[in-house]
Amino acid sequence: MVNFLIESLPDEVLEFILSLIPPYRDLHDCMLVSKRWRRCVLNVVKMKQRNLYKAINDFDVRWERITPADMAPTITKRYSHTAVVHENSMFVFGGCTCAMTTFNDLWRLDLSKRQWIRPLAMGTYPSPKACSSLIKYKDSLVLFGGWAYPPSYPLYQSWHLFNELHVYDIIANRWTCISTVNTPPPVAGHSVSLLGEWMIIFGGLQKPSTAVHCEKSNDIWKLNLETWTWLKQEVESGPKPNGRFGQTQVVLDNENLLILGGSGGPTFHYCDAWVLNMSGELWKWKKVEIIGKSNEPTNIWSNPGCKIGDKIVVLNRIRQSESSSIAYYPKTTWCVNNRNVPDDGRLARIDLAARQPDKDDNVNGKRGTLRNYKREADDEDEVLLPGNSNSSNNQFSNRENIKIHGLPTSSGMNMAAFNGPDNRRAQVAELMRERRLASLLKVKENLTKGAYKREKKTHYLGVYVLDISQVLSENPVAAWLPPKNLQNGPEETILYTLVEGKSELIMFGGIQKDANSLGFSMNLSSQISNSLHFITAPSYVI
Amino acid sequence: MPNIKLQSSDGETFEVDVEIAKCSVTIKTMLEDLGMDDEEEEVVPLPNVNSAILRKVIQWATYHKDDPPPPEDDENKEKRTDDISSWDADFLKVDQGTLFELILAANYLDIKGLLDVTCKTVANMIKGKAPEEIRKTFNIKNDFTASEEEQVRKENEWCEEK
Repeated sequence: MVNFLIESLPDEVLEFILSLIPPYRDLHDCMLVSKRWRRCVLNVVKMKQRNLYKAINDFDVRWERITPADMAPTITKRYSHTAVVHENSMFVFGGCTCAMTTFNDLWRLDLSKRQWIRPLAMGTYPSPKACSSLIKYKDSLVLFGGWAYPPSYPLYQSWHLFNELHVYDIIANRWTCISTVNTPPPVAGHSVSLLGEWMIIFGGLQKPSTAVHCEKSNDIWKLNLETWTWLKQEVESGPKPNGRFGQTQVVLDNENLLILGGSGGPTFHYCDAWVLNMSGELWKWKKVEIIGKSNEPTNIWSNPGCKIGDKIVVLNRIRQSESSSIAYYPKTTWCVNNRNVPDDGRLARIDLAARQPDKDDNVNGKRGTLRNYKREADDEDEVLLPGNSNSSNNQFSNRENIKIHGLPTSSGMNMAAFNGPDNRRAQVAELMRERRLASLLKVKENLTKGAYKREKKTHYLGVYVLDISQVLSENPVAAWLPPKNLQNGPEETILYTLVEGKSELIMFGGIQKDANSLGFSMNLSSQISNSLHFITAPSYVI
Repeated sequence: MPNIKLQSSDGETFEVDVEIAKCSVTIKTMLEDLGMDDEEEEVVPLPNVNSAILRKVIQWATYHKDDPPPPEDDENKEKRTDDISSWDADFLKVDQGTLFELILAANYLDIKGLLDVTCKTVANMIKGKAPEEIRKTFNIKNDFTASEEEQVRKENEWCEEK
């Protein structure tokens, strides 16, 4: 006997129940149940949006990590992929590994079940590529540009850049290659926005047909998505942003875009922001004054930003002083993942190749002098010698590097065999060794003092917020908000994707790497991720 | 441990350990505000809860009396609907009417843990169902006309406020 009906619950209780429903298709279905349910769902949606916005403003967010082990089948680890949310799903295309592999697979994450699905699409697939752009238009996804590793033979080829254009029809599950005229030069790392029926791209690394090397572009191109015609957009003369790639680009309204950050090359990264006004024949750039520089993240070129209301959220390394001591999940989980990395034969081969240079030098007496060291029990850190000339390269590739588990404090070494009393050469050699040893001891001292510890320290990602509510005023201003309640997110990762779902931000993939040491010498054993992190507001209470 | 007496809407009295009764914020506030702590023979009337439901609530509260209080900053505890303990799941194997009455009682008595778990149970009954199935499950009348329903189907509840 059902004497008490769900309809007898007061609205606030029904809304609380509805707030527990995944905010995607399930919640939409609830809206169709009855007028009362629709009204309650609309309240829940409003409340969830407000909560996320408030959480971002207060830096009071909840991190939730979903490990790939929880989900099968699962997507391969990758970075520099591209992601877009469409209705109930997040689509992920391409990306790369460190091992010369670029992908052309498309995955769909069912956001209500948080499950990966790989739709095996028909049609003409795009090339495997990373740093391409993906936007949704109606029921399609539009993919443009990107780069791929060169084929491994012949050697010394440069990266390949693309200007191919593909459309993925979500309903028909089919890729189509679109041929266009007046196509922009091949480009990667550009930024993209949809405005009406126009896809607008800015910047990126370009390779004009006449050029030998890639150039950083500050061109604007627009593509009409109905007629598939490209136009290069001219801008009014005056100050404009320098050529760059990896920037964040957001739509402010129907006539204005904002770009933020980006990279001008291996050693030069931008922290500036520009507004692009798109009314009129000639478009116009306006530089945004940035205030709150002391709250600025250190790296906003390999950490994508995401617009929430009148704020842009950027994840970045939490400054040491502000970092809370509690990690939101233990570090060891990553190490377990890392063991899986060299399971692919190809990867392992390249892995070895990369270590070749190490063998050439008699670095730090590698050829047989400094052996048989006792491990000191109290020395927890495995100390990597910085003596390797490719020092940026040796952070993780420790199989071939010398590990010194604590140096002996006296020269109590096993060198009796060389130590004949009459052998001057041996004495000289001994002298040399002692000198070398002295320098090693100095290294050790530095290590204990922390001079080289920078590479060892684990950094975590946290939320940084840029207030862009005043960027459309006469004198555009954007302000980095002073951080509060900083909570540790995952370990510092770059080149992941960050997109807005429904009342949540979704971070996927990426590579755990210090952005400052990221160059073309990408470390092969760096840790690539296929984890999902959801950033939501703390749950609310009725 | 001192006991107090709770009286249900249909006049039945239950003698309960004060500490257990205090998991209800409503009762706790009542005791503190009215200074009922001293007079042991006082009966707390609960006019919104009948004896069958009150018995269930006390059973739940007794089982959970030693639970640690919910942490203020429960950073790592995500609010998910699939983390109902097996004892709670068994406890809530009741007919819908009882479940909704429990929700109302938990709401009235302000017992957060019980409200959470009962609402999660209902949310699980809703998840993955088409609108028509939801109506059938909960005996809800569809008050949309066909054209209204079509319109709501196309509605995007997430269009940005700003």
